[in-house]
Amino acid sequence: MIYHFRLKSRALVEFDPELCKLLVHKIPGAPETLSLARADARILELLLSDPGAVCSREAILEFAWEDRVVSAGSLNQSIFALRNMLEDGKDHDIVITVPRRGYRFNTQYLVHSPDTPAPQSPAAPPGKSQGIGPAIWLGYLAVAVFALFTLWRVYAWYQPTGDLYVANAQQGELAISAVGKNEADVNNLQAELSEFNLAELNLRGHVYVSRTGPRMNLSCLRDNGDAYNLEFQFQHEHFISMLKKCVAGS
Amino acid sequence: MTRHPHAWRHVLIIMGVFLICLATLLTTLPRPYLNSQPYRSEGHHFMGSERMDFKDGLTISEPSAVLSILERLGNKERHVAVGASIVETSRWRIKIKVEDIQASRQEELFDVSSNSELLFARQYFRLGSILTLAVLPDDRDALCYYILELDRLRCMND
Repeated sequence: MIYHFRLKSRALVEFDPELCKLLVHKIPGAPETLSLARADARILELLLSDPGAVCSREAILEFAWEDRVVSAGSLNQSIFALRNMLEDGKDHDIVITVPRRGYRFNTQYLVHSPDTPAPQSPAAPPGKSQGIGPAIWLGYLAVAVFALFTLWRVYAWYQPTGDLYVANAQQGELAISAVGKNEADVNNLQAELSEFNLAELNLRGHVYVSRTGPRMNLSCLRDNGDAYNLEFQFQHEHFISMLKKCVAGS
Repeated sequence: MTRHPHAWRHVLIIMGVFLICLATLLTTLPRPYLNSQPYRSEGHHFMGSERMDFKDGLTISEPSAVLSILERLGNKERHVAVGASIVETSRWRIKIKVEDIQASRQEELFDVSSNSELLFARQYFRLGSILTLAVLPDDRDALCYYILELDRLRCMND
């Protein structure tokens, strides 16, 4: 990421934080390369990463010197050196002191040329070395795991387990659901029930039917909403009368 | 935080996702039953020439459930109350563990030994048994379920 800005002399400056160098295009004159101390370059990089925003002294200290502990005097000295390098030693108009808060870069001196990227937006942290810290990565990782667990929990809540099969059919106004633990048996039962021509009985409601060996179980929800249950030995004629009793109460 | 001046934005995103997940987990997911609502049903059990009336009741008050059965054959009655704890619940399954059985009389009202399916189903009602109630989808105000271990189908009204 190369930053561009002007000095008060209108000279265009290219700042490369990786190389800690300033390339000053003086008018007129040949470009001049200036080397910055690493800490000074880091301070300028931080200020330019969010131009106009106030960077606290603590943030600058941590960013510029990373894991080293330095005194406040070191920061003052670096700011002093940086301002001198930027010809800003007198009125402090490029690197502005914000009393009791810190420092900021004066955006009036920024240059947004079309062939160079604009200064980074506040949302994008500057450069690889300034990427989000390990704590943030860990936070993202933890919350991703938590989100996956939540999704799994919701999925498991709604997911049928496949240990029960239901085959639905409609005969007239009677809904018939064959129920059982074996899919083939359930389909066979539903096929057998469809042969009864139950539509002719003019029954209304919903009946669940299961068969275990010779025993049949009918659970009915009648048209008026009442529930009724019957268990009996399966016989063709018997089934019809039981169905009527279950669904219609007759 | 101070080293990364914009870290607060990431922290906000992380906290936001975390809170959404937490709210999803803590929000009561839809259950197939109304908690503490007594469900009842009645019906008949035909065994050869005999007809036994029965009434079933089920009340689920998390984390426990009570299943009651009243059987009547002629002038004989038998009442069974089964206390259970809820092992697991999901949208379509209720898994309970039988913790207590109280019966007004130990012997069955009719001879179940002549029917192997019935004999097996009734013997499964033992302390410690796990019963899985597979709930059947229905758009009415009723609870219909199939007890997988007993092959018993029931619809109940609230």
